[in-house]
Amino acid sequence: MTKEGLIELEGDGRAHGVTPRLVCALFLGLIAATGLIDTFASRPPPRLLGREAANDRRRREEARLFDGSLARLFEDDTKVRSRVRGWVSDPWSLFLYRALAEGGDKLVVGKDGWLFLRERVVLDNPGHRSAETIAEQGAALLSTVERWLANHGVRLVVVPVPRKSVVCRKLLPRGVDPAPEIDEQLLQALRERGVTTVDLLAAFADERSEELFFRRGTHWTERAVAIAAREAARAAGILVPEAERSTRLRAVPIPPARQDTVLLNYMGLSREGAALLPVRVEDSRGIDVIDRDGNSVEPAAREGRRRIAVVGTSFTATFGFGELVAHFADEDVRVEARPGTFAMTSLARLFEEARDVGLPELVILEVPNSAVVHHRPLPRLAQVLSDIGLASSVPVLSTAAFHLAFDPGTATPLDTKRRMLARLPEGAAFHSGDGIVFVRLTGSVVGAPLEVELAPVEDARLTRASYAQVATWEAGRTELLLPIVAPARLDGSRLVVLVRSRASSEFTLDAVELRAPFAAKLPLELAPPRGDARLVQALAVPEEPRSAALIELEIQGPFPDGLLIRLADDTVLVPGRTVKRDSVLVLPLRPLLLESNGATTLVRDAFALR
Amino acid sequence: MVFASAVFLYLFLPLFLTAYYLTPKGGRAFTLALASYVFYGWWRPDFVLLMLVSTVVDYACGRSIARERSARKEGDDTRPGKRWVVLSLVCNLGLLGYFKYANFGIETLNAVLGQSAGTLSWTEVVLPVGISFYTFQTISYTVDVYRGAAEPVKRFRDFMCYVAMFPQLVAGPIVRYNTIADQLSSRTHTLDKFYRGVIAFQIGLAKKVLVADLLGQVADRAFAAPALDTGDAWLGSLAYTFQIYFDFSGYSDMAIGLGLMMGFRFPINFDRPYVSASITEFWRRWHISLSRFLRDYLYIPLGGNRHGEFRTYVHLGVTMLLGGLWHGAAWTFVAWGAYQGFFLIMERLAGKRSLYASFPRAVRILLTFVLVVFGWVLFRAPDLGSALDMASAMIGIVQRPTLVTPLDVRTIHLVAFAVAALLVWTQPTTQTIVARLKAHRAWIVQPLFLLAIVHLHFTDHVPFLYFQF
Repeated sequence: MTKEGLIELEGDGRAHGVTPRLVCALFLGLIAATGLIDTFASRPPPRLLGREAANDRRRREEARLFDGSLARLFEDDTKVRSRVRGWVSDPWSLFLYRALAEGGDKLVVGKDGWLFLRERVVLDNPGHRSAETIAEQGAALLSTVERWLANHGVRLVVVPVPRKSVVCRKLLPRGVDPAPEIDEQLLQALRERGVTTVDLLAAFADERSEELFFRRGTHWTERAVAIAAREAARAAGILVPEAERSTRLRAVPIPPARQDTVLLNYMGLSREGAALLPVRVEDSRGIDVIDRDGNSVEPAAREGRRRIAVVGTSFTATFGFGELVAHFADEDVRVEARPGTFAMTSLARLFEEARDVGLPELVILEVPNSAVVHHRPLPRLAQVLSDIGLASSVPVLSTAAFHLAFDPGTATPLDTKRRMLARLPEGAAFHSGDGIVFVRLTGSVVGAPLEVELAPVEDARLTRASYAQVATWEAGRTELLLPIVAPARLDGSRLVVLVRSRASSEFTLDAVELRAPFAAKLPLELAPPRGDARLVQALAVPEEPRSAALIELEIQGPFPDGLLIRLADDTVLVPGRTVKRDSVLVLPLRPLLLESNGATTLVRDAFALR
Repeated sequence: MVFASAVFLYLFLPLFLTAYYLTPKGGRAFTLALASYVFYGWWRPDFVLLMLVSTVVDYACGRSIARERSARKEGDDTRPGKRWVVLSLVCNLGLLGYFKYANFGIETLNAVLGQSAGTLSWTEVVLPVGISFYTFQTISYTVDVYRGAAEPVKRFRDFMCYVAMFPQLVAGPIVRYNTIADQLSSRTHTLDKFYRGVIAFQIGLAKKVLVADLLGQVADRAFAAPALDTGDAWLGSLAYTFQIYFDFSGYSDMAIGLGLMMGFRFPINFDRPYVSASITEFWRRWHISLSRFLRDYLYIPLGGNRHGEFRTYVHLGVTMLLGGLWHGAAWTFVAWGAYQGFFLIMERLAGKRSLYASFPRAVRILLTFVLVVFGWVLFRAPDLGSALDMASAMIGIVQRPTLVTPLDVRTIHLVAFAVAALLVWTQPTTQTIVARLKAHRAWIVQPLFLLAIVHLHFTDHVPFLYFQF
């Protein structure tokens, strides 16, 4: 180092020997040749599907020079289309995978080469939510869907798909914990809310986990699909005895092209590179549905009205789930599930078409638990529920006014920066937090679509306890509904509505208000205590119910520990939780509670859904 | 644009080197300046304008200082050009203050006001990359010219080149004007320099891709985890300790290497900092260009050690506090500066010796390293609370929330840890290798560089779940 700190170079300043020339030539040749090959002989881009395709399209539309998004798009395109990367990545990926059990930072390599998506194993857990909170949030969301469907006379069966890392957790590397309690508690939380739910964890318990998921993919095998379809039919009450079915099942080998090995690509292996790995026997076992003549049945219908519809993601869109449900129910099934989309997207599509052909009687909704863990279905939920346009003129739940940050009726320019649109003060709304109450915005947009977010205020406790809802407001729309969903009741929590443009827009806000489109109060008639005064009957009859009478009952404490509240059909509930059941409710109460509070004070309100 | 990216390595760099060497010698500074604007504006073209404003202002200030100095009459006691150096400082520190510290200031103010009188609404300012470095460089120019330590630059294109020069623009080293003034107007371009530059660049890239980025995965997970046990807390902190060294020194190596490819000799920035036997020694070996800048442009102007013991400690403390804040606009960086300043003052009180000077050197190195690791916890943690949690976990006080994220240290990370430790404590620095470059060393570097390139391709992969080729 010189006095000025400059780097010192010993020697006479001349390059001696062949090494300097060779090293420089190698360096320059390598970088220049890579650049030339990747520019003039690049690979074709991948054709994306589903939401990845939609996201890619949107990214291209929104790419701008001045915010760096265009440069980043160019960089990603360069990487994706790099031919040299394709050449060098395969051998290196294979070496890392086989010698060091390394699949890159996005994968977890388990025992015997099993691959898992890291984000579905190790929780990226903002706010450090507990397993119970995650499960409760998911259950709140799905019970909101059930509320909507029930209101239109449609029965719902939810099929939560357990995470691969939970079902196959013995194949994870030692010390990696996928938090299986989330999947278990989601089932419990759904049942506590009265949602008909298929327990695949129990159904898979006696199976070899290696046969239920693809070793190098994200999906379940056809064996697991058959079990799931049978259990869904059983839960929906449509399972036909085997002897009465018009179709049969047959084991068939499935070709490599139909096997899920997507995680090899995820670690950078091309198809050619992936072909160098031995095929796993379990991955090639398929199940075919055949008719009495031994011919494969036609694929399940993708359009038109059927009594039963399947909505969901790639788990039910592929691998023959619809055909298998049709086999177990012995009737036609409509499959609206789509790969690469959110479960709610296919539900929205079903509703959209239902305007012409009518709704099915039964919807089997498949939701991957990984999506629940990572909040994924939620952004679409708000959009689904508002897109189907069933909000009608109904009474406003609360007269509490939003504080508006924008002048009503005045066009306000918006850019990509998020701004507060409205704030609901503390103490303005009390509700069960499961989508019964909506925030309704009216106004108009000119220019790029807006992203509207309903969020709890910047309070850590609320962040853990409620969802941020995001919906898109495009030009032409004049109303947006955002359901308020949280794991438990919201007693006067504050809320904020935030808005930003995807590029540049003008937004005219007319009003922001709370709506409860389905809420109508009915008084409960409490019968006198019977026998030892531990049994109380409460009765309410909804007027002109559209569906089987759905009652949401709120029971208020305080309760002693271990209090058991039981419905007539023996469903066990947790004290203080909102429940939905038929209008006859039986509460077996302990003497202590009756003595301290009196039975009639326990039941405060009931909401009938019409 | 960053060095360890496909667009820089395979497009920008070959195109730039071709253009640079095709340009006649007299115009190479201009070519370099133009390329640097492309490099800098790649993600945010509008920030190039900001840099140009800074360039024009400081060029004009430098010229004005020189003009006043040449017009000064004998017997005139006023220091010529003072108003211009003040203008330059106001502009540069104003830019830095606004773009780097405005958000921090408003957030802090709101946190205080929020307790009583409500908060200020504020549009968040986006920080232009490299502004901390190029404002310091332009400050060094006007101050050096004012002090008479450097002649004002004659050609505007040379000054454009000095301010914008892409190799050290984003992460240093901080090149002071008076150390490079001669090279801007006249430098040699030789195969020997180019060759040494290639080796420095290759070593830097390998350090960044094969060590820093891999250990960064462990560090990122550790510092994002809600809670860690003692072992994982140490692993996470050590991972960051190695990551920051290999990342920062790797980037400096690449900058120095690119400089050599263009005929420049830049200042070195790291000299085996983790073999330091005291914090004072650590600061002689860590981010040397910043330490020198703070010494010459802050500590000494404040008064240095010229006003007695107590004032010396105050000056040292202020310098380290501001040095900490320079690294980032957050209280964690202030705390890190205070932490380092505390040990520097303690060592000065002990007679410029470490607090454990009586131990054998190996023990002193270990103890200094441990102190540095705890310092990096402050530096890396997202807030002071998290830093405290991490430091508590390191000394055995562990809190477990409902969900504990496992750290998931894999074989490849253990290999990276081993390589990092080996390089840090047994191998010479890049500048030593480059200074005394032998053919066998150059050939040892080649497979490492190729491995880095291959691994960069591997990590560059953009994954899709739903696609058809």
